[in-house]
Parts: sequence; C-alpha cells; structure tokens
Amino acid sequence: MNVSLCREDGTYEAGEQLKAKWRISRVSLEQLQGLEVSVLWHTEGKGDEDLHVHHFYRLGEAELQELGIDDLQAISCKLPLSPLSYHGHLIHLRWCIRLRLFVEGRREIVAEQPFHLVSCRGGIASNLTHRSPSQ
Amino acid sequence: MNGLVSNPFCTRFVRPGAIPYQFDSFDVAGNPEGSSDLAQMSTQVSETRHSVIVGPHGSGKSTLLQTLRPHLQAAFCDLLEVRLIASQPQRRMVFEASERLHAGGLFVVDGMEQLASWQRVWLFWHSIRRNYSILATAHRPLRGFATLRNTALSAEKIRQLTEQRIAAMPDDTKNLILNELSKRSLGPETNLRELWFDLYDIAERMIALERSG
Repeated sequence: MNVSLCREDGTYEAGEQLKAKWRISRVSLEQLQGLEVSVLWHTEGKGDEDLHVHHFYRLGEAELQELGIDDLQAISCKLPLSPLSYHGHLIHLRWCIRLRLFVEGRREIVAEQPFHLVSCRGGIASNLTHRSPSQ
Repeated sequence: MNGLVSNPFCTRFVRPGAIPYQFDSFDVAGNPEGSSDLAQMSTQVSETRHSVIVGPHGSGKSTLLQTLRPHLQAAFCDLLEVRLIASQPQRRMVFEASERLHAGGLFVVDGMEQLASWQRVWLFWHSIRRNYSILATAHRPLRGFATLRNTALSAEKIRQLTEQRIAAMPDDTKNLILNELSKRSLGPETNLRELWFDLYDIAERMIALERSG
C-alpha cells in the first residue's frame, strides 16, 4: 500500500485542503475485506499518548471490489486550524494519513503517510524546530 | 521531510504489548514455533486453575499477557482482565470483575502484588467456588499458583532487545546508545522500561541534531 501527498514537502497550512492519493499493491483483489482511511494526529514521546481522528471513511469488501486495485484513489479533506505539528524533546505531535487494510485470515496491513500542519508555510522552520533553550 | 523520525523508545513503541513478547530461542512474531509455544502456555493456563507470570518491574510480564491474549480468548469461554498499578490500585475493581465472570472463564489480574494477602486468599477461594481460572502477574511466585514463566531478562537479552529497537537509527546514534548500555550493570533485576526511558533522551538529542542539520 502506498500513500502520496499532493505536496513534495508534505507541509500544509492550517485550514488548507489536504489532497492525497493511495493505491493498494501486492495484495490480490480477492483477499481484500475492508479498508479504513483516516486523517489523524497523534502524540508520541515519553508520556501518555493522545490521538484524534479528523477525517475518516471506511470501504467495505463490495466497494473495494468495485474500485479495483489498478487505479490511484483520492483522499481529500479540509484540515483544521489546530493542533499544529510540534516537535519538542518530551512530546511530538504528528499528523498523518493512515490506511488500515483488512485482508483474508484476519490480517491487517497499516500504511502511514506523515505530513506537517503549520500556521503559515513561511514559518515552517520555526514551527518544526522549536525547542526550549535547555534542550 | 524534516521532523518525521520517531524515537524508537517513545511510549508508542515500548508500552506493554507494543512489541510481541520474545522467547529466548526465537521470535514469536510470525514464527509458527513461537505460536506453538504460546498455545502450549495457554493450554497450561487452562489445565492449571491458578497460574502466575513472575518477573521484576519492566521485564515483560504485561507484554507476555498481551501476546498470550488471543490464545487465551480462544481457550476460555469468558475472559476479564484488570490491571493494577501502584499509584491507582483500584482493588474494588478486582472484586466487582470477579463477580461478573462466568463459570469456566479466565480472570487475568495484572499486578497481583498490589492486593493485600487476605484479598489474594479471598480471590483464590472465590475462583474455586465460582469455577473460574486465574492468570496473574507478580514480582514473586504466589502460594497456590503454578509459575507459568519467569520473565527476568538476561543482560544479553536486554542488549538484543535494545539493538532491535535502534536497528533503523543512524550509526552514530546506535553507537552512543550501545556505549551507554555498556556502562550500565544489566541483569535480571534491570527494569527494561526504565532503561529505555533513559535511552529515549539520548535518541531524542541525536534526532534533534539530525533535524537541525
């Protein structure tokens, strides 16, 4: 499975439209049972984790059979104003497109495409590398 | 893209259950031999009414429970699990859950040492009266419970698990982390979770350096 963003630097401004394409590969059409597409943010670091799904849809077996696996499929959604991507020493806030593919034999394949959500594209560097002086 | 490298020691990757439990001779994930070992342990739990996984803090007891869970779910008609931690033992939850369990079911108590001895004895006799099994985790063997496995880690195993965590990191980060490991006294009493918590800081500093170019 692969997901590709419409922007090479993978950086989007808050409130902007996110557009991406996905395609299933190396799995036969007959094996597919379902697919969940989410645009979400999650935290990672030393402490407890947090996660929020911003945009979600599910394709059942019949819908996947109808779509087939030859063509690229599109995802599009309006991104929110916050929370913005953040990278600190103890915590990171990451945005990503996550695809969960359910295949025969109760197997699950997950693919993620990270991207950055920033306040304005000119301020990418300061948004992404902000660290306290002690770090 | 900048800033997208994940720290291999962040909670997401090292919380109990995030990494499948690894037996000494083989990797469980995707290995039929490992699966049969888990199936065997699950049979042992079914046959022995009271069993316990023993090991020090952060040695993989909860991870083994998580890895075993699908096998236990298949072996028992009912399964309830409670996790007791020192800061929030919630002992009442244990008694409430034990009342809900069906006969022939399995009650999993992660952190049995958080219960007072009289509470353990009560639970033991309650399970006999109500006909359910108990699988517990504890720091020491428990009276009346068969020890299913001791998860204490050898120094070699700790190094091996850490090397697996950092396999995708750049060489300089790997070397720093391995150097830190070599300075530590590793053995069965090592709390792997805490050790990895410390290594998070080293990895994070290196990731930040990479990010800033």
